[in-house]
Amino acid sequence: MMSDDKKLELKSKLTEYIDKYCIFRCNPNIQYSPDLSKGTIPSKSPLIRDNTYQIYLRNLTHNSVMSYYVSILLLDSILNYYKEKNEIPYFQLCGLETGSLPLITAIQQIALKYNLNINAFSIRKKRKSYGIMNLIDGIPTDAPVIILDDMINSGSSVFKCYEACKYELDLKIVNQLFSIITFMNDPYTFIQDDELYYINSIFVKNDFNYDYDPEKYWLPKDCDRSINKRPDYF
Amino acid sequence: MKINLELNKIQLSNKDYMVMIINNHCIEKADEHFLGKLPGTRYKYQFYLSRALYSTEFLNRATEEFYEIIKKEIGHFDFQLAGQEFSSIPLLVGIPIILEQKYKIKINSFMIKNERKSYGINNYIEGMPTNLPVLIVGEMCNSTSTFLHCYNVLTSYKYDILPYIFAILNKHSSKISNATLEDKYLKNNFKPLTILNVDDLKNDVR
Repeated sequence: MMSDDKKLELKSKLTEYIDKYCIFRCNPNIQYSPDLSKGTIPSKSPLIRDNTYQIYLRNLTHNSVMSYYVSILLLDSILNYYKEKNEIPYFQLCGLETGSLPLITAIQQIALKYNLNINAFSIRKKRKSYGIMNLIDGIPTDAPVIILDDMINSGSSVFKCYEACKYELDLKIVNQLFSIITFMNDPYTFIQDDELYYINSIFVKNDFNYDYDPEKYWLPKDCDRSINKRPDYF
Repeated sequence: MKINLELNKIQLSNKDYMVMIINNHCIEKADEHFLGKLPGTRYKYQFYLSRALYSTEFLNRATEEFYEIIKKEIGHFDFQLAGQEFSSIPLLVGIPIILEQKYKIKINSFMIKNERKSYGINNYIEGMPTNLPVLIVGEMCNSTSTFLHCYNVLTSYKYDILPYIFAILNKHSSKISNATLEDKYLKNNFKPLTILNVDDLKNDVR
């Protein structure tokens, strides 16, 4: 188990990194989208028209150092849960494709250092449209499932995993969910099929400031609209 | 589809272990045919290599082979990895972590999305590319146009690309002319570096 001081140290490094590299804060003077007002970007949800920021946690999960910090904190949190219950940590990991897979892979690798070989699988957003039309990637075992995601916002990703594990695979689902950050409100729980699920997240929404700050502004070159990168295209 | 994967104690060479896992868990055969990806296509069998890549043992052994192949063919690790969403993710995340733990080699990686994100900043790339040249990686070459897609995105944004690609498996038999020399979609003189090709696998998929 990790000491509280070590946890704080890792969390502090992660806070600094997320604040600098994983939060895109819109510059209020830039028109990002022709049909939106200045300083706003399109949202995934049609209910929210104008986002002024967006979280990009894959800038973290694709960084091997930061990914290590996150994974060790989450693994510690998972093992603590079993320790408090005085149970053997018998579980497998599951998440929804792109968001959770870097995290799952990293946790699996870190766990090997502690002689834990954790099985994992992922749920596709939709069934593959050819071949065996699979919804699941990986090989699930009979172990209870811990669902995790990089970010738990509305809970829709987690719910898709829950449905696949319960109805497609008939597996037991642990009532503890794990994530790097959650945008859900205190008490960080939700009820599904009369069961209370607890969200164990390293960070919550209020741990960060989302206001535009020129010092923390970045825009990757694949998103820059000022120059045509392929002049042969009009 | 619940199979118990308690195979990590078996003492086999990396290649033999990987062949065993792929033969036993990653090949689906159809009595008639599977519906294919492209209109009109049907498959007699299909590979599901992602099943193997969720196994820590398989990924560790694949990374050991990656290390040996890169050392021999490229001779250095001054590059970063890129691969297409989302099948390449275990390689993009696992290889850097394992290389650092086993060989003290630091390597960056990032992922290329199938298509631009439809909201937010509309990014194509997930992760933070550096200025180093890029080695495109994937689970399988000569299967789909994954490597070509990565190449097109990377060249659009003027990334330097190494003249190699890395995959776990080359789907073409070495008996087919040039099959081991190029990826049929990418071509352009990119040399595929693969741990296995289809000749290594069981008879009915060769």
